[in-house]
Amino acid sequence: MIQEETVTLRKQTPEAPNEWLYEVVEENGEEKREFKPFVYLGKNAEPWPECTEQERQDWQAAWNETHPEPEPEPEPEPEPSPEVINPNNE
Amino acid sequence: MKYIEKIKSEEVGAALIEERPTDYDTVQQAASELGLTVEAQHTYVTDIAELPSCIMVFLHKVINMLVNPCVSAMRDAYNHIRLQAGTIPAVESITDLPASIRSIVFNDYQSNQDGYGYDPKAVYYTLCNEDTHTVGKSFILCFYLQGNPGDTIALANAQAYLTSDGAYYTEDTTHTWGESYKTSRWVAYIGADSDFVINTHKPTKIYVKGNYSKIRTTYNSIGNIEELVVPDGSSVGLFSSAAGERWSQEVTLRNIRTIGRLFGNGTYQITSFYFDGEDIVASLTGTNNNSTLLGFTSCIMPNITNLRYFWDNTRASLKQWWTPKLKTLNTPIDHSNSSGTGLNKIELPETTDFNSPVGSYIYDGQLHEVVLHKAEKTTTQLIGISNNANYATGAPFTYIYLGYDTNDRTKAVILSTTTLTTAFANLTKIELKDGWRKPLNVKAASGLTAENIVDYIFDRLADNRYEADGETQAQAITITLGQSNIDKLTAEQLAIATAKNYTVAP
Repeated sequence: MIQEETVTLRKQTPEAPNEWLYEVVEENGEEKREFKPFVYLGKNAEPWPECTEQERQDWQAAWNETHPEPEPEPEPEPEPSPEVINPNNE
Repeated sequence: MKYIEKIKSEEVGAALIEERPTDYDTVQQAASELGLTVEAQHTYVTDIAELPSCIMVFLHKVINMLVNPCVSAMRDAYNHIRLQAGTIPAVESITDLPASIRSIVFNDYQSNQDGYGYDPKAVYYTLCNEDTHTVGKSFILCFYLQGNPGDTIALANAQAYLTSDGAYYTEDTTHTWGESYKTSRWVAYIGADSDFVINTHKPTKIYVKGNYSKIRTTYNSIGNIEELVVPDGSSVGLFSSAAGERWSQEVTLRNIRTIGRLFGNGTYQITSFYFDGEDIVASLTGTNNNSTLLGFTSCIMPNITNLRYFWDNTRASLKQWWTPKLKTLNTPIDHSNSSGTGLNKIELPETTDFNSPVGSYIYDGQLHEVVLHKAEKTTTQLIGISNNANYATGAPFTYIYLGYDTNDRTKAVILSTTTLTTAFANLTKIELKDGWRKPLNVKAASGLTAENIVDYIFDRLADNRYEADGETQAQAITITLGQSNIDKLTAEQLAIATAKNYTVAP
């Protein structure tokens, strides 16, 4: 006997245009928000919280203040002279 | 009563072995009954010092010239077995030194003094072969190829020292090298100092016997360390070489627990690196000798568990990387920066915590496959690829396998945080270990196919509907695919993941 099961695909989008869904995740021991325009919810998942664009920008600005972007990738370093002497060997 | 050493025969009866008579006449009679012949009678030499000096000279020459390679292996094994019995006692004074060390004929080591063919191992093994004495020793033998006549040596922090053109010296005496000892010199520092600093001249070969907590070289005039030997049974807790010291091309470090500092050098490049210790505790580049190792091709570190430091900008030509016990990655393996990597594949069997990307700043490299058997957690991202322009060379980064360890759902794996669309343009296949049940972010891999997503990601996800008790509903886990990948999937394909209680996010 073949048992059929109906699977419901739940796509969540914000209530209003230009608003965001977000999920709180842990990054290096801190809580960080991941903003998404939509998600397909897992079977048991609760709907993601929503926020406005302004709220997203405010949160992002606050986050960036304490979490600066990584340094730009360095340029290749020139080959130094091999005859360098450093008497300190700590 | 005389003792027999052995009976010449290819077949000796078991009874004879088990009831080995000690009386020579009895043995001879027994042997005669068996049709055997007795080779000879021998008396034991109980101390090597009892050998006539001419024999010592002869042995030194034979070892030095003919059988050194074989002796090396034999001595290593010999020392390994012997030193299992206990630690080496310290030399309390110069008078405690074994007489046989005193009997070393220094003139034997004056030959070939200006050449590079001189091998101090014979001296080393002679010194090592002092196991019959009740008072042992530990020592560091340093061999020097460079230097000038008239250079002097004062005792550093050992209890005594020997020189290849002199005799014994103590802290009260200073040795001055003679005119004829311009290049081939050795000094054996004898003592049990646990923190030994080699602060004279430029050692090219360093041999260690004993157990030292720390050995450092401080003389800094572009030495050229060709060999550092710590045999089984001896050990060094930390070895740190001076800035500016060149190393030979093939660096092999055994029985050293940690490395403090090694320097790559643009002129004398290290091409292969073997280190069987557990940790590297300081930068391997130094601050003002940060030369690239353009010919660096092989790195094997079988016991390292936490990679905290490694040469930066040195892996352009790396072809082989093997760290089977590496648990935590704190510095990139592939850090080619500008000139591209030669490493085609990175495989990490035991690494779980990626506090650093596997690769960083990869431009136009050769890396096309990453296999991480236990990718449990990434702090920021797994791979930092800046520009996957290498697709033009036919070696794009195309495949990554992600396994897991404990499948802890609080530990997310993030492929990359780059926003460059070219970075993973050729990464067409990501394969999860079957049973994956943790957050995953592969948004940067915008070039995945629908088939790959379904067959190697969605189908590999474990059922996340319930907790282990089979009744309690589990919290959903997020799989971040990115907008472009989601657009490739049908509703039915997306439902494969959501039905197992994974939220799919762009």
